[in-house]
Amino acid sequence: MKLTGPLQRVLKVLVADPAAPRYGYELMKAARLPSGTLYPMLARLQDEGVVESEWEEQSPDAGGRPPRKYYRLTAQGARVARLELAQASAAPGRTWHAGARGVHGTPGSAL
Amino acid sequence: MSGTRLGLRRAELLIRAACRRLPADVRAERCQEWTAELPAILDDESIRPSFLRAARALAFCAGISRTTRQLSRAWRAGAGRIRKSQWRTGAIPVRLRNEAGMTEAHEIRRGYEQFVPPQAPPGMYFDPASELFLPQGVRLASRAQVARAWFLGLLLFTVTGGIGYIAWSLFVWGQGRTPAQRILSLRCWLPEPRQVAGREQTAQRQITGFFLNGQLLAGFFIWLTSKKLRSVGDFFASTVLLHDPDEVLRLSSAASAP
Repeated sequence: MKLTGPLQRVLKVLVADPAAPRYGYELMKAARLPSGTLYPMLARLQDEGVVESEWEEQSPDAGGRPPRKYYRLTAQGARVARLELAQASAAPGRTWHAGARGVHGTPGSAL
Repeated sequence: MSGTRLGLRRAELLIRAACRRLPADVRAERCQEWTAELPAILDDESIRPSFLRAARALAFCAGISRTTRQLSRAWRAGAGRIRKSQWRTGAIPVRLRNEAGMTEAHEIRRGYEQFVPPQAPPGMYFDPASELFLPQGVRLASRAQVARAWFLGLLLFTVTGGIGYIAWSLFVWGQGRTPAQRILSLRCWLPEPRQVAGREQTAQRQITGFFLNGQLLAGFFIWLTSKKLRSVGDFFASTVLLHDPDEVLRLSSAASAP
């Protein structure tokens, strides 16, 4: 998968605080992406082991709203994302092979 | 009910409708995830004036609809595998193709049981787009092919002065086609007895189409929206139009002719 502008924006948002879980709309606003672009991208990133998701535990201060699904970078995903973003800024338009960087998957498998 | 609540309900309905395209075992989870985002959009104080929040929610739903359509199309086309995390089942549908390039079978795994195609009779295959059994070697005519046949028919009718076209039609209706369809290798097919349409059905298709296709643009809407019907004539004659480039239905047509 090519490290496109939208993908870079999502990774930058996630890398800003890798431990912080973010829900879909929060990511949409921060990365300025429509839902039709963001969710397929999150699914691919999750498939490659770059991000992980978990359901919010219902708390009383949630005000009765339904639980959200939160996404955040995995430890390896954070490492790979930082490296790739740094390299992308040096050589724009290159292709990102997450598998070759140690995130689970066969070496060379494209995102 | 307040405007926000009403907007929320409407948006939830749109997302539920979009999620119906997804496999049953992931539908609920995806639907829950996406509908849970709606309150955040509709309560977003940074969007001003407030009525723009409803517009943002609508745009969100449109994006979700596009996402589910893409994933559904990928499954139907078999062009790309559906990733594990998207469905969370490990189920990857596979479309197999026979030598003629037609869909022959699907490998259905857990969670995709609702998509299991019925067993095709010998010499036929199940076309998932139209949900019909079709003979090997032919496929449902595309909308572009039908439009071409319509315009060609009009041209032939004009060139032959009308009477020539009608005489030609009387001759080729027995083969389950009109003169324009004959030139473009199209043929009318009866899905129910699974045979080429006879003179009677083809004439019925042609005549009802001639008189009723233009009524309130009925023919245009059927051509545009129906998965298998291409004209008003198809509706009345219970036919579908097939592209038969190798004339594989010629023998079938001859056998069914009186």
